[in-house]
Amino acid sequence: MASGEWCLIESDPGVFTDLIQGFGANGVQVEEIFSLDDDSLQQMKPCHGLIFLFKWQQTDSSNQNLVKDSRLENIFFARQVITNACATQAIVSVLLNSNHEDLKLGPTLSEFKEFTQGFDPQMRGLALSNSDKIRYVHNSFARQQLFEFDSRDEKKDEDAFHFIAYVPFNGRVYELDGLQEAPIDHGIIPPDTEWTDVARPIVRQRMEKYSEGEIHFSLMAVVGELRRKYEREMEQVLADPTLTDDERNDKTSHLSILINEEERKRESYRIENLRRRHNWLPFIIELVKAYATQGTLATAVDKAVVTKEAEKKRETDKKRKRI
Amino acid sequence: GAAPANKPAIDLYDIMTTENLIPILSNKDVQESLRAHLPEGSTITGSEKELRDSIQSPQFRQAVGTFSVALQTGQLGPVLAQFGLPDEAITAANEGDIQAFAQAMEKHFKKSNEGTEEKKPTDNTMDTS
Repeated sequence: MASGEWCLIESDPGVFTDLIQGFGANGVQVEEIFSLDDDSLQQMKPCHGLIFLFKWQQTDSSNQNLVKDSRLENIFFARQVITNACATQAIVSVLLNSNHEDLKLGPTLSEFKEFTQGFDPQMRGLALSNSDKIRYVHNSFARQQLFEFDSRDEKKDEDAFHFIAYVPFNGRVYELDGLQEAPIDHGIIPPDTEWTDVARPIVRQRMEKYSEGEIHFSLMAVVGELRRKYEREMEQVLADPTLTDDERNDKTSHLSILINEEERKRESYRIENLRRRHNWLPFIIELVKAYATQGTLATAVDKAVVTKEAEKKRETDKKRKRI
Repeated sequence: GAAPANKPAIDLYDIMTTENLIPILSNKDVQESLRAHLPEGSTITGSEKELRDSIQSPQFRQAVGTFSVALQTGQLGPVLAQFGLPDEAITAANEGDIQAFAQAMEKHFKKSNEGTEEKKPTDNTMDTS
């Protein structure tokens, strides 16, 4: 890949979580959200932001609630200048707008935040796309090319994806879409209300709209590191004198299960990411050789040819009938 | 070159299904030869289970898809030549003829049924008739 280029990356919680770690930030992880009901969002407190991914289409993008005042100086918002960088842009936008004590940005992102403090959204977008460190981490998730070849068939369904982020900031909910001129203000977070409760109907509306249009989308949440959260709860349970032994045992065994589950998840992310970066070509060739050695390869291919021919014939017959 | 027009396009992806591949993985020699090509650091034992998990992973399936498209469009020949595959198989790959490719591969690698033959050499100095 030529320097200065950004690769396409897969929208997957494992990729996003490792990407955040790669930037040097910690205390957060990314979870895919399958349901917007109370419980699933409640379990993931604190939630630093939601990332909505969808297949981009030209739509009416006029918006009345664009932020045009001095808030622009404080909210981190960057215009999207590079298409393939949008996953990283959404993640960075969520992270730089959170000031939660559990989130540690690390030197790369802290420096970037400081460096771009006085910039307008366009300049911030340029600064992001020119950040060697951030690009390097992003590109480490490039899908391993088996070899140089013309992959026009593959790109088709990938390149029009777009990410936007929803974040809480100073008591209001904002939508950060790098294709807009500015953040979109979605209103105040009322007292004693989770910000996700404010964002929920907005996100839901979008999901419904896309479902009707059969547009692919997915939703991710940048949340506090769950393992750390469970470990804290464990400490509290162990130190709680009001619990009976049975109650304490129940709670600790439940938390142990959750902690183990987080460990298992991390391990599977690690393996998936190794597989993503792996060049499978020698493996595939060995496998084809083994297939041939076993003597079933040619038969399988012939069988597939017969099936295909039958399919083709059926279709031609159908066409003939229609005429 | 593209696949001949009179033949339907066969996708190797449809043949390299998990269903078809899993029985192949039960062979100890195959396990041995594949183990070396797993992602580094992903495996402790390179067990049959790990090989199965690998061939069922979306990342592997995706690579097979790419491989398959490249084979079908005749782009894989030069790459396969670097891996010392038989000339006949490479010729077939250059033409994007998957049927001929499969036949050539089998002709070269399939052990004779009598079972008297020793392991064939992996270089391609033989069998170009």
